[in-house]
Amino acid sequence: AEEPAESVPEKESTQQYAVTNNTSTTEELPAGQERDTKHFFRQCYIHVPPRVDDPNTLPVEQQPINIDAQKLYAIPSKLVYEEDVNLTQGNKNLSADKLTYYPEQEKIIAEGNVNFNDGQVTLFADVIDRQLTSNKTSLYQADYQFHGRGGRGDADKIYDNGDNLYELKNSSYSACPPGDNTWSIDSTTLYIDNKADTASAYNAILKIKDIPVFYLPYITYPISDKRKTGLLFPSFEFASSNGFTLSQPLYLNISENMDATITPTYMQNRGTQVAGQYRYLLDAGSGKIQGEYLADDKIYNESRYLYHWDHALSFASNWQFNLNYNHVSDDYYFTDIATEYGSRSANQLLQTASLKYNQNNWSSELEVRSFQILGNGDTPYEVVPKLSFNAYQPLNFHSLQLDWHSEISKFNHSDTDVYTGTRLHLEPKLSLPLYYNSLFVNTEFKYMLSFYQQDLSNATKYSRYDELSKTATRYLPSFKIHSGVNFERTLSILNNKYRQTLVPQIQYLYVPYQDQSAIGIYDSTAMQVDYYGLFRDNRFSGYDRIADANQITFGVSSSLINPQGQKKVRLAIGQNYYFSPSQIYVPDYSEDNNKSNTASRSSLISALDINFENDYFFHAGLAVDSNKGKLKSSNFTLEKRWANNTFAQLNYRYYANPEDEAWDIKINQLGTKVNWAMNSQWTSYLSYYYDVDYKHAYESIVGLKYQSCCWAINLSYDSYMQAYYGSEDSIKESYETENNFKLNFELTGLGGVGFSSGNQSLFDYGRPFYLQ
Amino acid sequence: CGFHLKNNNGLIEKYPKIYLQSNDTNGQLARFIKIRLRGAGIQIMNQPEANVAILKVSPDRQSSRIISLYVNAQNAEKEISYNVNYSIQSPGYQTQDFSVNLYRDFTENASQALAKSREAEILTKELRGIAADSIIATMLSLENKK
Amino acid sequence: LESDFTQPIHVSSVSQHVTMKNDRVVFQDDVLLTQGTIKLTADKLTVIQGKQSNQEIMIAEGSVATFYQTQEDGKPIDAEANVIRYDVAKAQVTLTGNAQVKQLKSQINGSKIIYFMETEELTVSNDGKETRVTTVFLPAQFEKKSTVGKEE
Repeated sequence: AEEPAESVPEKESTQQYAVTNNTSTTEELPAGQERDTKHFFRQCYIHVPPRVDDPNTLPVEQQPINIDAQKLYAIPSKLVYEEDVNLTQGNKNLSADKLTYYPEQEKIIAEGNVNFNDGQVTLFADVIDRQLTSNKTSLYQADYQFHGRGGRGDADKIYDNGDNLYELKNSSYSACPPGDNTWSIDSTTLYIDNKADTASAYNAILKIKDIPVFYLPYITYPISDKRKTGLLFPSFEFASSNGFTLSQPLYLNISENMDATITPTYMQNRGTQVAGQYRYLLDAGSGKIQGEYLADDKIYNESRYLYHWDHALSFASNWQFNLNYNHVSDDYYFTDIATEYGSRSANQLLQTASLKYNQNNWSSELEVRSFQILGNGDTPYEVVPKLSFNAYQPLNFHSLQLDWHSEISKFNHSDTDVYTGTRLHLEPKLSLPLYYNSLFVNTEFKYMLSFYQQDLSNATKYSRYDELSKTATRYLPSFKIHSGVNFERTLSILNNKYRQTLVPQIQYLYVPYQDQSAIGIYDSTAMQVDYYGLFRDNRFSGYDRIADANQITFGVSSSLINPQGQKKVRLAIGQNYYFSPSQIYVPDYSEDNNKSNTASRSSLISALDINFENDYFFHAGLAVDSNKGKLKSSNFTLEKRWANNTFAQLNYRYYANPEDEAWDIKINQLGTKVNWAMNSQWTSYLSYYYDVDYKHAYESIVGLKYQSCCWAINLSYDSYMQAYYGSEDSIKESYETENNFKLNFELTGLGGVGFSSGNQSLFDYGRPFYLQ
Repeated sequence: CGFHLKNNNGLIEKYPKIYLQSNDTNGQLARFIKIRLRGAGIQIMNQPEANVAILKVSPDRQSSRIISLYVNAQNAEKEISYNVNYSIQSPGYQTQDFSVNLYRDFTENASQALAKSREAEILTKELRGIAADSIIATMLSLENKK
Repeated sequence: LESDFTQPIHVSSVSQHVTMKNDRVVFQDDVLLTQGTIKLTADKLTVIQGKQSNQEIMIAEGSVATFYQTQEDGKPIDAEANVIRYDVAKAQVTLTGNAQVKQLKSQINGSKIIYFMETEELTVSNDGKETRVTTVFLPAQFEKKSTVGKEE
């Protein structure tokens, strides 16, 4: 859902885009099973006090302490309070039968049904030993209940370091309401980090209804539902091709800055795959390495593997190194095996590394980039390497600015019968951005110089390579002036006062024509045009083609803002008018009928977002080819929301297939998602995506979830089309569909047994409109 | 039709000087914001000073989700979402927090993966420009609360 | 201070009334008693003579009777109550009736406080459910730790 925010300063409501996005937490939950946490919480955890952060800004050692009791016996070295003793300090309070205060060490020891509460956790203990100036507290024979969440349990000893980190010895932990022993985890040592919402336990025994079910030497698990990465539970599934699948992650804590997860996965029809993920945080940088290996897949009759490595390092305050490398053994890896590193529909893997040096007004970068492409179509060029240098120099005339961009790139290709080349590109730019209260005028003048050296010795793949030449140069200026004005008026509709903004924009762009057919195509393609894209100064990405232009761009965007400052309607329309048609195009060497563009106007681009009062949302985006009046691309989304996260969404996406594009670059997809919270326990959900032309379903999921206070059962049936790498004429009869049946049992606050996210839709739920 | 130029008190009257606080001051977004501040004639301080407004910009975040497939069930369009949180603190007034959320569609094409990855870089650059515009627009229309 | 007990006792008041019968002297109206660093003020002070000097028992009464002394470590102690009974021989002060003792920045309240001057011991109790012993320790109490040595 492309969102055309006005690209010019306009008078917005003062509550500018302030995202009161309380859905952000639920958005992280799996799409289908979001639940209204507030409603659920009230239902299950009525007794749990809310979490109260310490409003007191004074550090703990400056907060006065009040102690009162029936009796007090005091000598300078200690004060002994007895009978119904009560101590308060800031928002912390403690009550006990007897309390001894040692003023020298600022320490207290409370004995006899001690009750301690600091807004984050309530603790009952036999003995509490607390350091008053550092908040460090040790509790013996304690029961605890966290505030604001289900976490509760008991422990022989609890050590609270005063900074929301608790160490529990011989403890039990559960997120079930009191009296509900559905599950609990006993462990010899348990660390609870109340800030990071994670717990890590040693020698952990999971008990279901007090029956020990599961032992793990070491586990970490989330203690809030914000993050859905489940405990490392076995997950199982029944899939039509893989058969019964069981995987059990094993967590290894190597050192405090290194850990790993080994996940064996048994697939009935394929064999057992072993996946290992190693995460590290060193001074030489942080990152992770993932390896997946399936020895001789019984269906595929070959061994299959994936490896991934990402690394990030910033050093000496200006240097940054980034690496992201992915590789799979065969084209069908993603369709056959579930992995974190590629959706079942992914067909390209990025392999890139870059070293960047950043200064205040200049920066330089060395980058290598390549891709592994699945399927047997064309593959892109590789950048081995690219060295770029950029500088930004403000000049002292108003906001005049001189920018310099230069790069030298060497392109290689895996095929042996194509051209390769090296390109030097230099681009000084002089710009004068002027911003007034309700008007802006940006003027830019660029001069682009490019030098190519191309190796055509074995470029024999396509006959049209003969247009290329060994060396080519190109000198092109580009001039752009872009302005916009903010208008505003108040409008009363159905007798309440709306504010309407209107922001017209106009841009003139001139780039002379220069024949560039001698230059090969390495990293240029025609870019998709949405409202923002109308104001670009080159229609093509990369630098191998610079479009000639003598055009004016008109754009207008308007929004209607209701009295509460919310944007209710947003409309944006724009179009380019060519004084002379742009002749440059990106040739497709495999086709011979490339011809330049003769249109006098670009397509009319428009986008509309409406948020009706009663929770209806509508979005539409259209690109109409105004010369032939044909629809180039369009997308529509309609959604209705009810309470408790019940919603129904219908969306349609269309991308016309221009005659010369291959058959598989077409989109004509209808999709729907429904999430129906029938009552506070039962939720049913549906996700269905369908191709209108070829009449096959990309995905159809239907599911039911029963959610109790601290556990949930999720039953879903998922049938989806596998990525098809064959030819067009045989797609109708030879594409394959995978049918999965999933049952998973989820311990709320601990993640899932079985596929923890339950609804594995390829299409994540997205708020189709940012208008809240 | 009732439209008039939006002419509340100007940017420079409100913020003659400003300190831009960001942990990636050499990054693209910070540079775009500085260009617009200079374009409006505002003096940018290089460290915080008494009664100088503070514009604090946290690192921007991007994510993408699959929204459509090609006929052969391979990835077609993705929705790129861009988010940046920032706060404005005029001297003597409360700090006010804002965020910018922008969404754009991006069509993938494996055979032109390199060119498409350069297109993605241009989309991000344009999104950062729009985010910078929207930050300036907020500064302009901000009524300070005591 | 330890030396207080060897100091002479001076008493001043608006009027004085002696009844030799049971060796009792009663001072009336803004009475002030000093002995070394000890200061006792009250509306009415009754001094009961002991067998030898420095064995007197003083009973100070008033809407608020106050007692002040500087302790061994230089820390002042301020006390007040409806009735203050100072037994010089036992070096014991008993405060009854919304008694309050202030030391530096800590303050102790109760219905009855007994203060043993030699050992600087305090026992605090209350006579019924409705009043409680309360103590407040203010932050300055903690900074003491940082300033080494004597309180300035």
